[in-house]
Amino acid sequence: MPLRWPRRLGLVGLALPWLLPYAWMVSTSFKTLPELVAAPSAPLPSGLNLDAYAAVFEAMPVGAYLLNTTLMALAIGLLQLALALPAGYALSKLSFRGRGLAFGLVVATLLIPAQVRFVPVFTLLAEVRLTNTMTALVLPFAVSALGTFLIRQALLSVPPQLIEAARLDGAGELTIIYRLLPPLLRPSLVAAFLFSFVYHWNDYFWPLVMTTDDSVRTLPLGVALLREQGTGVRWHIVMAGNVLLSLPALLLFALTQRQLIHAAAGKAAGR
Amino acid sequence: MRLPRRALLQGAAALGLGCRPRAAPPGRQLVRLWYTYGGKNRLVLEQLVAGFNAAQAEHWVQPVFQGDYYEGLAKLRTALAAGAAPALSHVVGEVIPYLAEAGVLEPLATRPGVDQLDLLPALGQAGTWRGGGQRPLVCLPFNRSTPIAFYDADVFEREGIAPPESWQALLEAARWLSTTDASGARRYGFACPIDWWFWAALVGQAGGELIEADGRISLGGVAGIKALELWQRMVNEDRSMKPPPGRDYNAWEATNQDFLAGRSVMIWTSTAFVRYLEDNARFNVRAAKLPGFVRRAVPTGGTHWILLRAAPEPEKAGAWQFLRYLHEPAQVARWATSTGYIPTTQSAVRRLTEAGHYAEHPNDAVALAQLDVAQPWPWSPRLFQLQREIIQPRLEAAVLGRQSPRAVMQDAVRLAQREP
Repeated sequence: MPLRWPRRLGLVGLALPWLLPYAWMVSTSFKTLPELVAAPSAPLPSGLNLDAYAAVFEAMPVGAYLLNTTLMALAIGLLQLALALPAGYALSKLSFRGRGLAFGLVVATLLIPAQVRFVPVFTLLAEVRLTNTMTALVLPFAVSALGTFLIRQALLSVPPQLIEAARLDGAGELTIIYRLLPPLLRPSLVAAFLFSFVYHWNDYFWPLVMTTDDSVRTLPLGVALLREQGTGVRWHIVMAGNVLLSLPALLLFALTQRQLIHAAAGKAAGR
Repeated sequence: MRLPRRALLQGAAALGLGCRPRAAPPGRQLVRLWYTYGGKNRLVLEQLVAGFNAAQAEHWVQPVFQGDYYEGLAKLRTALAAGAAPALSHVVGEVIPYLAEAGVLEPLATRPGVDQLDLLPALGQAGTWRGGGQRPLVCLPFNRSTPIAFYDADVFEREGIAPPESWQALLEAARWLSTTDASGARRYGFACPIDWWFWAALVGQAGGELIEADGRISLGGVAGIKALELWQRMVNEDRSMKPPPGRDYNAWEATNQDFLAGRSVMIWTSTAFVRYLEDNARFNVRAAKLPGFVRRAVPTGGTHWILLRAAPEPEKAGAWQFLRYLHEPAQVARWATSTGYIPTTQSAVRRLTEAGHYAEHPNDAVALAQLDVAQPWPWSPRLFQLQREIIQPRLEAAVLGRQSPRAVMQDAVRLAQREP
């Protein structure tokens, strides 16, 4: 049913707090430094000046950082799905002593931020000479409590008879987990993947801590390179970097928004 | 959905990618350098590194960005604990005593050529800390600066005002220059980040010391209170000082923006911003020394080079060669003129003087001349803690929240005097 215009207006109004900063960022990226200095809050640039974008490409290897970021976020997202599926399956469909406690522990780990554990993890990875590798960026996030939680919740809506029938047909547990269930859980899997992808795509802290040279550096670190400390910020260049950083994530969201909305609406079984 | 075998293979490949850190060219010793700024400073530093790498065939310096000053420091401490620290880095002065007392800094006094470094006394270890000259040399100055006043010379000339030489003159000038136009927009006579560095300048001007000669932490005593009272009066009573929004360097940037946009006529900021302000102002920017109260005084700031003791000796030797290269007059002068930081050696100052730099850039000469009143910091492993945990969090609350300066400082001193 088409939305009535007051409702549309209301929704646009609700979206503005998210849209305006982004629009301002894009607008600033097309300004020149003198324009910014004269009127930093002017809504529109005087023209589509691309100098800031040229400065971004000059300041850092955008392609290499982009590749590193993509590989890292993809690897983390796929690993998380691969491990969250059996974990969610066990926590929702298998009966064993301590299941409730195990689920509680999984949820509790959501409360522990990465900053709390970076020192022991860094020390551990340094011991085995894995700092400054893609492994150091991916491995600590291979298991996701949020992903496990989302998939476990989605699996609750899958009828146990379906799994029982598959077992009767001779399907093993791995076949059930990796072949039978994923098509039923598609919206939740996409949502879990996207949450992970976007979080790690934007992550600044962990790659900063774990990498010690440019070979595995990611795009958010590159954007931080654009920031001045001590000689005056060229905000238009920083904003151009932020636009470049955000574009792939936005594109991914645009391509998968239907699945995300399905997942958010609780249509876990994709019906 | 089929098992995403191809995707998993790609993921595995991704895990393997980049597993090998970039190495030095064959036959050269790799020297890892961790640095902590982006933008123009980073570009100039990387150019200097490229110059060193091209000028000799023995060492290969690899500069790697590690976030801002404080992120870089957190990472350095973690890397030290994990035995993965580089040979060379630079850190803010406030943390040098802590690192030195922790025994992680390489003594530099026996390195070849150390006696030939003709550092400006106020900027080297000997002048930056009380008693710094009597301690083993553990750092060399890099991007050094002091607080300085910049003002709109056109407005000052129009109003017939001279840069203030005293706190009283500062109060009067800021009041005189503060106006509100018909639309209600306020132009402030003065703006300054509510920041530890500028508070320390005020404490020095009021005759105080953060730590007394007997080791007692006083945070300036009465001088610390007077510093807060001055800010409170200008912000709340006279409405002649704009406290910039934001914290840490965001507040500094907001101060610059207000000045460039004409929303404030005079600011206190770092000498390092001189080129940025000169290049982007639509009016004549002039620099002036900070005023005095019972004396003229400014703290020094910025970062110092350090060698990490735990790094392998060949890497440290290469790092030292790089530091010697950086301290040659050409490199010091290039760094200073490209960034706005104060040159750190006497030979570089001579070189710039002879080249007419100070005649052409009189604001740079003011920054240099102000070093005559630079005050040393106390050599205390707790200096960094005093800055980040005791003073900085209380300044804004005191000034903007109109808390009693005496009560705020008594509370700060009480906390500071506790054992860490």
